Amino acid sequence: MERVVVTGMGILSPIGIGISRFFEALIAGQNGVGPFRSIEYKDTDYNLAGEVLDFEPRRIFNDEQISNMGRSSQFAVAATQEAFEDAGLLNADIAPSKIGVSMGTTMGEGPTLIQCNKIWLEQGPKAVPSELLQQYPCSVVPANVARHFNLCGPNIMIPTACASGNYAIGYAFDLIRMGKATVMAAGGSDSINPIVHQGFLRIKSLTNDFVRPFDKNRKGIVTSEGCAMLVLESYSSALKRKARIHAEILGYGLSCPAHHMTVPHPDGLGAQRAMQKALNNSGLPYECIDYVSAHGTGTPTNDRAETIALKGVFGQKAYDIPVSSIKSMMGHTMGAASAIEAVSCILAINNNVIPPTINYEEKDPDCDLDYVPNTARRHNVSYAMSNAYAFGGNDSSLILGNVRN
Amino acid sequence: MQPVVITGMGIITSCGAGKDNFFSTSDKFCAEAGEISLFSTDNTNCRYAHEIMNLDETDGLPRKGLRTMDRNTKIAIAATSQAINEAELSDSQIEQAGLILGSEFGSLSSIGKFDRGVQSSGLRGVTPMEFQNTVLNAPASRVNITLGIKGLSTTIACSQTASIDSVGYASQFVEDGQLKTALAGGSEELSEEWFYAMDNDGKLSKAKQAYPFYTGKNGFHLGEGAAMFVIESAQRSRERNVAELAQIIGYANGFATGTDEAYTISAGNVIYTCLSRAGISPEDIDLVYCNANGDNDFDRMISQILSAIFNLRNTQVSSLKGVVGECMGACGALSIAAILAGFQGYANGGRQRPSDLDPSAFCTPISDKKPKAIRYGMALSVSAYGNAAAIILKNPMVSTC
Repeated sequence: MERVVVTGMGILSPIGIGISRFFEALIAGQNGVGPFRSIEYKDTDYNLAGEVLDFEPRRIFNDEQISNMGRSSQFAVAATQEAFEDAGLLNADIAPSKIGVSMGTTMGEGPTLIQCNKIWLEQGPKAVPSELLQQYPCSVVPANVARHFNLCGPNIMIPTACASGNYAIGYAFDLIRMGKATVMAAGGSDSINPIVHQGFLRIKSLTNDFVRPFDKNRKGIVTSEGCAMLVLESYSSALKRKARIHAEILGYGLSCPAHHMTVPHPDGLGAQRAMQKALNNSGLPYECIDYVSAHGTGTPTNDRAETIALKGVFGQKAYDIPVSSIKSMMGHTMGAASAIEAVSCILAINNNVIPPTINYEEKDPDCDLDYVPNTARRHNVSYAMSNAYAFGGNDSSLILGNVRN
Repeated sequence: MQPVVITGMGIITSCGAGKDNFFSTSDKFCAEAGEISLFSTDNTNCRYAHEIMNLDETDGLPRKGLRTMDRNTKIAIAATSQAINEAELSDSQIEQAGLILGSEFGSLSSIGKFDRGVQSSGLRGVTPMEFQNTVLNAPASRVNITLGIKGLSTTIACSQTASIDSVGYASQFVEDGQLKTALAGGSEELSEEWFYAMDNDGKLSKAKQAYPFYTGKNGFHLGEGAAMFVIESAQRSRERNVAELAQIIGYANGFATGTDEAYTISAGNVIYTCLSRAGISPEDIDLVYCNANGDNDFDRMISQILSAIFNLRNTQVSSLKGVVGECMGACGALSIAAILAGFQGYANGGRQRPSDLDPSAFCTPISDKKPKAIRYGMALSVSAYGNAAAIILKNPMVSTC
């Protein structure tokens, strides 16, 4: 079996585009959430979002490409561009045709469907241009990445909502580990989507306050957008071409409590099993985990269940492991979230600094772990665990670490 | 790595539900599509589709809770439930199993109606339950919840390769020892959104029958359906003393892009990779089910890909879409089901009369000759977006010596 390492990263987030800007903002505890700016939004009570405000598609695409590609795809191509440059792949001996793409999303190109529906309501279904609706299926996102870079390796879209980045990275990890691929671009992308915003508003999961994961007064999530892409590569290939290695993917775990579509299992059973599987598959004892990047959405139920799950796996040690949620800074970037959090973990490993959970003001007795409140912390991080959970109990856990010699 | 087998199958299409029904039905060369009852076709060019009738009465569906389920969820639950029953999985085996569902859209009807409800009436126009059905992984997750499958839940959406990819994904988990049992396949519902788009594009046939590889201007019919499989290691199936329907011996997925020639080469490379992983040559493949659907340009592209690799003297080539319609993310799983039918001697499915075949068509015309025993079958799907996937199954009942 091959070892799998990360040799490139690219990111677009509400706190910055590009790995350097993202890292600076992460450590500074910058708040990237504010009132909607990119789209007109009439609701004045719940109008917060985390948007990627300074993305300029014309730096990468021509007008025809922009009109044929939704925003989630544009993000994915832009992040992959940075990741490939970071990995030195654009000038490497590896033929692009051998590279694959594995991606996750919650809604793919949802705004494209909204455009179609606007026309449907105003003029009837026959007026909806078919070429517009054909830009909607989420499979177009990895397809657009593959087409842009002429990548003919495995190509997959795993739309397991808010955990999909972990699923996509995990699948790419398996392909390389089992010798079925050498290099994969893996990650997640979601653009700001009124369907999602309205939906979470309808189920009363939004906050009109700050995003306060694990805080006693937390009220819910803010919907956001973003994308992160990693270059995963076999260790032997990375060594051969003397690539810089950011981190190693050690293992991952998936589970499903089969409990409810939107409410997490109260004891976090699916989350516990996913973490346990990740530890088993990585061959790491739980005592080795130095940092946990939490799913930490800021809803009352998720954060409580997640805390219970962490104690279920780590026992008393849970109180010694720093746990933080970067959704406090960005809101919930949906299908991009766990890919962005994987990047955050790699930066923590490389720099021995843990990003904070910002907006943390009052302790909740039900959430009594160390959530790294408000200020980044210097801390040796050799191994990090990144957890992500989704509607329907699609639970996941990914373990990353320093490359061991 | 452990050899991987299929020990159970569940299926539902417009032709009916259940494996036995499918095996006899799939032997047809074509089936008439019916008039669509799910939505209005007053102003459309096409009025027909392969719609599943009386879905709520299908075996395998729970008696309660149907009202809150979207159509694709019901289709997926019915097929999964049948597969579980055939493989005689115990409650604890079901609990430990993983579910992997291929579906291009999840439930496009649910997402479309939710958004149109919000756009026209604000939040009062929609319910919280309706939002739950808008996530693309909702059908798969609801199958997990309804049937108590707790190993994992994954949704794969790669256009028409989605369900071959899901079976490939599942077999990898079993091969690797991460799962003892996987339930994998694909499902797709008939949605008015996609129907109107294809009709507006002139892709749909105005006639009741639509034939893949047809010589005249044709078009296709949309369909809906699901095929789900129980996948486990060969050793485990022997321990449980259940029959193997097939052995999964090769799978590959890739992307085809660029000029027509480059596209053909890339898609061909996926097939060659699959053959290499199976350890066999093109001439060993006795039966190919591809996803030609009646769209002349699409079918010619598939013919080009296949003719560069296979020889019709050795290999029967067919498509099931004249029987079940274009089922998008489910079509690969339905092709796999057709191969299993072929293993049982039902290998005429989807074949055309010689006089109806396009001159460029690379497929086997219908024949009175008894089909030869099928040792190896391949399901192939390609999509207009560029996805390509192939999977090779071995018939456990035919010697390959």
